[in-house]
Amino acid sequence: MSHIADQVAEAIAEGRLGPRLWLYSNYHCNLACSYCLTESAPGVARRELPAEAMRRAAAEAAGLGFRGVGITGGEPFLRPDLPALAAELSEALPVLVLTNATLFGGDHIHRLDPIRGRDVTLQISLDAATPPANDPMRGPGNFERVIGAVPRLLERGIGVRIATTLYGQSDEDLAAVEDLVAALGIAPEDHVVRPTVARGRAVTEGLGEPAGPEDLPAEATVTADGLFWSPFAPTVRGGRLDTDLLVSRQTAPLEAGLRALVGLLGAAPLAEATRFR
Amino acid sequence: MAVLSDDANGAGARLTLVGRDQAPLAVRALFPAGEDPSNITRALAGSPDTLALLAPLLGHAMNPTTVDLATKEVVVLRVSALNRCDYCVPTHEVAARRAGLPDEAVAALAGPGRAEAGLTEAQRALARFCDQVVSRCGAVDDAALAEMRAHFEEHEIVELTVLAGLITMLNYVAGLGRLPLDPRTVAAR
Repeated sequence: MSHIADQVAEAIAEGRLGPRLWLYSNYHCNLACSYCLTESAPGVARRELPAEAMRRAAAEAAGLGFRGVGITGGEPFLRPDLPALAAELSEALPVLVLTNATLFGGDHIHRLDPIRGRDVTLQISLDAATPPANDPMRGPGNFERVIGAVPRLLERGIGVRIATTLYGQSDEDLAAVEDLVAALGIAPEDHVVRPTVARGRAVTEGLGEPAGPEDLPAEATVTADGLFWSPFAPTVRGGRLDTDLLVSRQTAPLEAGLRALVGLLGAAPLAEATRFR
Repeated sequence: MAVLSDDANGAGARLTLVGRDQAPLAVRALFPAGEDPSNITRALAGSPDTLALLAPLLGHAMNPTTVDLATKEVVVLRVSALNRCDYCVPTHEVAARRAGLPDEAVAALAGPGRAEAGLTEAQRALARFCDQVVSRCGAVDDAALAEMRAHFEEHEIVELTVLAGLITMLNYVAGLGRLPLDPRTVAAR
């Protein structure tokens, strides 16, 4: 085992580095949510991470002691190759894909056949328990599509987690989401609730809480532009990529960028916050 | 005033001039609050891996060691002038004066002719050495090296040659980026 692998494994064991390697598969999206960190929308620059780069990163991550791979964007399933690619990556490490789950209606659900029976879980965004409460942030029809998709995914044996982003919902609203999540058959530990981070479009919309490296737990995040501190880091504002939480331009081999990240872990205060998950 | 990325100070630059707001984590220490980083630092920050490795090397090469600052500024200014660097020459005319070189020496080092006026014997030898290092890619003639040995230890000659190379590298980046002068340079001229 190389020296850097020891250091990464130690940092993960000590909780100084998140156990999951994040991959930004692409930045474009069929939605344009108000609090989006990456200003994702249908027409934006795609910044796709090539499939081969994702394969290499996942394989290397497994050897370095990471325990999972997260795929995020943008909407990852806008990539035609994504279902098969996620299935392939799951041979190296368990895979979590962050998705809006709006692309699986009707026969489109069969696109997900490659991940059935694989260690691939989908984390789906759902912010409120009714369309009028959920859809202003995420777009018309979003609530119904998500509620429609979850049971069909579960029927097919595909693991589902729900992520709720906070932007001022009342305790009552939140309790209603929790009830809804439970009614959908999702366990409480598979319901992630996190605040909006004031980066990207959230800033433009006056939403969210500011978060620097001291607030954000270190979670190695690979994008087409380099290795970043956290999945909340490679944000876009005014069409320009933020580099304030960029760690290294080197991601292949991953080890090259991780060497810089491990160096920063020693210096940075341990982020206690688990709010930004 | 905090320098933001690509603000008015960066007008005309061909490379992104990274400001404090966008300084990557690995090089954030080079962007202290209340202090404006140079435009060459801002341009290099686009490749934080490069800048993080270069910064300590440049710090060693450009600051006083067994070789004093004025002597090092002879190399920096002369090499920048030979490489016709529009950013580095005015920047180091200011720095050379601050390091104690007289105005006539600064003008001679930055000018096209032989650099002699206002320089000590050792500095003249060094300026001639720089002329050959640049024009002959380091393969200076024996006379120039012998003249250097009369004034400098061998380890110092190595160090000054490395400095000439590092400055050439910065000249390239400044030329590529068509970097505007730093406000502090403009103010000091």
